[in-house]
Amino acid sequence: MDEQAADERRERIVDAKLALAKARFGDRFDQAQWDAIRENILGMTKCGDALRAVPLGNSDEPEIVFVPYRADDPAWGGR
Amino acid sequence: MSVAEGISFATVAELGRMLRSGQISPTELTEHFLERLEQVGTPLNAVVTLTSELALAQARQAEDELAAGIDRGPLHGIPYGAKDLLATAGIPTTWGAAPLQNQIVDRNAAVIVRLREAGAVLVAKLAMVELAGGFGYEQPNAALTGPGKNAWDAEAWAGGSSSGSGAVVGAGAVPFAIGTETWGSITVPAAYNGVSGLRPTYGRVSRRGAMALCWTLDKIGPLARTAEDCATVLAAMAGPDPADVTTFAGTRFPSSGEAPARFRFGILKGSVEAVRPDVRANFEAALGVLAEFADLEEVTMRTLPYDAAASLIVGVEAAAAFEEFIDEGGPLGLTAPEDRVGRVDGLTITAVEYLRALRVRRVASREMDTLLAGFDAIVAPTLPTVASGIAERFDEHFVRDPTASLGAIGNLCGLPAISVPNGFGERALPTGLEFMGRAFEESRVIAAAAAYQARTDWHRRHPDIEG
Repeated sequence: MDEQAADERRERIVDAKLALAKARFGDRFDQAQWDAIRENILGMTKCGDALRAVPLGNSDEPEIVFVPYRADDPAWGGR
Repeated sequence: MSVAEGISFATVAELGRMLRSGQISPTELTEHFLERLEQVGTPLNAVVTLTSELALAQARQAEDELAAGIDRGPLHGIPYGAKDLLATAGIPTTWGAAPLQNQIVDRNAAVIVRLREAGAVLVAKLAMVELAGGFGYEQPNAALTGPGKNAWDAEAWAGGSSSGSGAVVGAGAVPFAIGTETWGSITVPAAYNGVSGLRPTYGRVSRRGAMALCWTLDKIGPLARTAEDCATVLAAMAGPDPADVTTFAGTRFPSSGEAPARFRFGILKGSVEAVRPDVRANFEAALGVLAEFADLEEVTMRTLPYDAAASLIVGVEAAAAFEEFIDEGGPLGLTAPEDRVGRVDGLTITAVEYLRALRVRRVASREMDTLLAGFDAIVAPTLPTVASGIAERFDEHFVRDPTASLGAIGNLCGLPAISVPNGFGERALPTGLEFMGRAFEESRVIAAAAAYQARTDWHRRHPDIEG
């Protein structure tokens, strides 16, 4: 995808996410605030694009470890 | 030097000797710092609540115990301040935010409990950027108490989000303070105020009772005059806590013991090109000192979107942690206009985007561990500039080059780091030198910083603040 097409796609995604935010908080913010929110969403979308540029394989897991719970496991401290 | 000045800017170790020699009592010491906080801390917008009654009761107990031969260790009878996101029973815990200024959490945070057990005396809850800066503030006026002023120049920012913690230590209004760091919130105010600040490894210190901004990035650590004092405070706070399961990883990696006969430091290739000339000059001078006791080697890191990963993780987790607050319109009462729309963006990030950030984090963590395994620490300027002006927007001041700081990669990977003062730059403001180490190697970065401080006196310099 060339740069212009990538930019256009990103703008569409930002607008869709902005619509999601407006669906949730439609009457809360004025136009200047919505403009600021759009900038924030654009920034996060660029972060997502940068992360997608890192080659990852199917087995590259997220850095989280789920530990099945047992009350008698000292690591859980009986919580 | 006056007696009062000798107390205000003494280290924890020095104050401990004064207490045990009978030169001063815990009550006198506490009264001194309470007065100092009122006279120099409050004008810096660094204090939320003075805990005078509690502090004097704790000081009297410390005094009685010492008289009875009970010594709880190096923090016994030493006053300190805590960032106002650490819960303290019966005392407001505001998280620096106007909408929460009357919030009282009816319990003590784990670090408050542990410092009490070590005999430390809580004298103040300290100012901070509202909600630990997690809502995207873009200038210093983003706190319940007003913009945090720098200990060296009230026209400069104290840094954030542990603004008060940095300012009061810098101004000699407490011997040490507790801060928290998600991304730069200990090292930045430490560097800006010319003090030592330790960011422990993620999971080294229990976060029970601390405001959550980002569950997988939040750390708690000390700011003090010296690396040695930071080690003393960390030792009192660290350790496993069943209420914070992340603290159990550290039990497999206790202190690594004695410092090496000669250190080995990595110097990040390109790290000085992106910083301001004054910061660069001080860093290069510091390298000259480091070369006296360490081998220095230029290193390169794999280019990865460290900033993007950290930003996205904070964006999502902060939005989740504060979802109810956002839904209820809480942010509309925040001080900074930009914070009032903060984290709405985080609510729109997809789960797949978040998980991708965590997958990249895994790659980054392994790359960094491989690199750091060959060194005692990576060394870099803490920040590319001195503090911004008190009314200056960050985008008008800061260097945005991601290679200019270890902040993103260090926090993304949960690595320990310490910032110590290494000179003065523009507007006679302090600059900082950062040592970042392998996970759970706090003792090694502390030893490295202490070796630097043994050969320099930047940590002995202090502003002339009357009080």
